[in-house]
Amino acid sequence: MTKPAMTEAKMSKPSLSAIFRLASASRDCGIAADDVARVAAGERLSQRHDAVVEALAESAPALLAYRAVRDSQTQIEALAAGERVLTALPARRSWRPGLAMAAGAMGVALLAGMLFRAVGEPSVDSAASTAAIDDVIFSMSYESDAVIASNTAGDDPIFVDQFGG
Amino acid sequence: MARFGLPSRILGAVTDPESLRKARIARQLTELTARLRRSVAIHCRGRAGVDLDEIEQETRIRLWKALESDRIEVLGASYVQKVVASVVIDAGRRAAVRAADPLPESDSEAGPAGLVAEGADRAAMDGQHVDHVMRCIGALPVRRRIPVKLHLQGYSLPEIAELEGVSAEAVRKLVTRGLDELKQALRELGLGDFDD
Repeated sequence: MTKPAMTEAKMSKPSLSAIFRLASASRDCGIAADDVARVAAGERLSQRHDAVVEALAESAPALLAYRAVRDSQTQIEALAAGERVLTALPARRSWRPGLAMAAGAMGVALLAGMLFRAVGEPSVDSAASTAAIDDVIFSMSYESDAVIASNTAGDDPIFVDQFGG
Repeated sequence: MARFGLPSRILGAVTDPESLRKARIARQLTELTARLRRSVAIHCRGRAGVDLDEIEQETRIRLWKALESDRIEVLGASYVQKVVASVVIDAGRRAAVRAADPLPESDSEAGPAGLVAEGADRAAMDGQHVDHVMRCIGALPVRRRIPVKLHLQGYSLPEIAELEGVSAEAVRKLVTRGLDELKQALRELGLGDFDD
């Protein structure tokens, strides 16, 4: 018998939450949507922060908006990132140009190396052939050697005695 | 021209970058508005008679217009957040106005639950309780006043902790102490006891 009496006594107490919500609903504080969005995104609004949070506390629509923005954060960022906006991902944006430049530099170095190699190989051959022309050994032809040899052989007494005589 | 048996019209639509972009945006907008609808439906339960279809449609229209004018490309996620907040706040305010308007010949229809006071709350509304309560809340020190207001509006302790930049435990102490002070002040005014 005491339980229903206690429940009745408890229920007769007015609710502070209900009173506060009704009172704040009747006087719209006019909080800006931009402020709600920024606070919901975790931003601190320096000196205005306390005033904005207090205004947030006095507006039921602002509470709804605050939670809606927080709950939809993943989808919001996906939509914005899809439009090539990387404001939500500053870390990624910072390393991308560096990576692109490094990749470009490597590509240029590789290309330059290939070009040097392609130009350098014929120049070695031509140097070798020039050296061969200037060399004493290679400057003499076998035909001239043969003529000299035959002339020398003709003057030699050995050949004169055996065949000429 | 047909490739792999597909007509060129279909191939063109599939490979056209603008068509692909529009398809992606449409999919992401659908995901966003669906998530938004679920969130508002959960959080507005018993608080205000907001129109979920209205929120979904308004968000879609505003974001499509922004996408066409490349505002999202320029302003990014913060712009989308602002649009979402703006749409929901407007819907909430419209719901409050609708609820405040007298409804002729609508005795059988109950208004939004949060805006209909019953029993003791109604009795409190009829008297000067509201003024006293609001004055007593306003008299609390700022350090406790804001957490108490947030708590009474329905913010959770982790939400208050994040907004205030303190730990959840610190918030719990501030709210408890603030409510005790508030109740004590109301008792001293001869208004009796109040529930949270």
